[in-house]
Amino acid sequence: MSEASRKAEFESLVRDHQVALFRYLRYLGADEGLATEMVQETFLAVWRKPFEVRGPGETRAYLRTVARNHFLMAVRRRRVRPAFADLDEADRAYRPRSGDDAESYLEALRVCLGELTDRAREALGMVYRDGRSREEVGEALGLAVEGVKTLLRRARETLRDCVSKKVGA
Amino acid sequence: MNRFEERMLDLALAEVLGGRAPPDLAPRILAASRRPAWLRAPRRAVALAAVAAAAVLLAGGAVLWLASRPAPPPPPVLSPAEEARVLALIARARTPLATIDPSTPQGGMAQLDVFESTRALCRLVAERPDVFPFVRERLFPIEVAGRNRDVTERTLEILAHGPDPGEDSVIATFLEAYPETFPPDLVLLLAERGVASAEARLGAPFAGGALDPDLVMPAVFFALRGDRRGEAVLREFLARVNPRAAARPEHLAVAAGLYRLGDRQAWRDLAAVARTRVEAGEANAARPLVVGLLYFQPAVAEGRPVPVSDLWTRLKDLEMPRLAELRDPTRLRALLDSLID
Repeated sequence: MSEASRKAEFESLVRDHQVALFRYLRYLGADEGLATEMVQETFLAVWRKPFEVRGPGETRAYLRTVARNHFLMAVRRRRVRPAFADLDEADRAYRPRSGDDAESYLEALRVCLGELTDRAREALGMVYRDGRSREEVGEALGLAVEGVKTLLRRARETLRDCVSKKVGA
Repeated sequence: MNRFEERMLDLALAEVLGGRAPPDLAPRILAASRRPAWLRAPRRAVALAAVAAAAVLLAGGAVLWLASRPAPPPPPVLSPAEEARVLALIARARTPLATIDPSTPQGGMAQLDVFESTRALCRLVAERPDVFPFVRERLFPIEVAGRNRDVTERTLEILAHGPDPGEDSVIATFLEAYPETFPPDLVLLLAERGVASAEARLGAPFAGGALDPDLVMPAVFFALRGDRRGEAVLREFLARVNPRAAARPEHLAVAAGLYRLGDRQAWRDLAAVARTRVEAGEANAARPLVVGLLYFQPAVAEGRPVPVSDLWTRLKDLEMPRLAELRDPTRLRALLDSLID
């Protein structure tokens, strides 16, 4: 393989998988800065030591393994706190739910949000879009804090069931 | 909903509703892949390398600074004969006086030997000031500042009390070089003889004006020379003598100084302090004071001057002869009464 074609292949690899790797690292517990660093380290490792590109599923699995190993090193050396104690178990749980690259999961979520009541969608928007506290949401919607918690919990359960059906997890 | 589902849903909602989509890292990654390997090192490694480089630069700077520093002045150049002579004198002066019993003929000879060698050393330094750094290097770190400091002090003391006034300038040379190592009574003696450096040394602590026991001798010295500050310090010091506190030799120095200034009452007051302690069954605590009072009593009674600098020396050396006599409380009280009346 010529140097030019190797560069082109690497560029393609980066563009195809960088977003999915970023989401995966965030899922494992990396903050945005660390996830950015880990994604770069993962691809540079691949650049230094190229691997045989097979099917898209195998490539994604390989890149996730490299990224997870880099994240583990960060956990050990920098005392980063992961989201889960068992990262292998977290990895096994990730693939069926994410649809392997999270894009299908996100697409399903966008559809499922439309199935929620206006009140539930509004409450979720205040929390995730505006960063409001549950007390603030309760004030805006005329609910007690406990009522907001119940509303959010039910909305999330609805979304989970809906998304699971759509991605087949 | 398990914790994996919770996490995924949270992140997905933050992205869909919160608009926090992953950044496009491709330009950054591709640019990094084109940089040389050493520039691609993680930030931590770069930081370590930077620290290491800074350390190397610092060490290099230190070496350059050391190399470019002005060299210390060269040690005095002595002829081999001169050096041998000085070394012999130093070796003899190092004889440990502390282990010598001066009452035996051998001890007396050894003491005389140290005295003579130190005297010769002092004369040599006076004649050849350039030899002094050499002597200081070889002798003083061991004899003055080291564990045998008292040997040199005692030798210089003997020298200072010797008959030859010419020795004063020699001792003053040492005093100027090592003011902090000289015993206060020796400094006082030199000051009384008019050695300017000793007088300056006495005046330095006195200038502070605090009632420190170390100021007593300087205060006596200055009071006897008509300095009102010195007299004020003595009176203040005497006023603070607590009859129940341990008697100290400096109380006697204060009283002797005031007596010489014409204040007989100060002497009597001090004797009364001593008697109070003895009557309280604390004769031992009052002993230095009592012995001093008794020793100087004849001079005081006759109105003869008492050399102030002698107080320390004679209290140290001469308090014992009458100790047995002083152990008898009845006789002791009678002696003190005679001093007071």
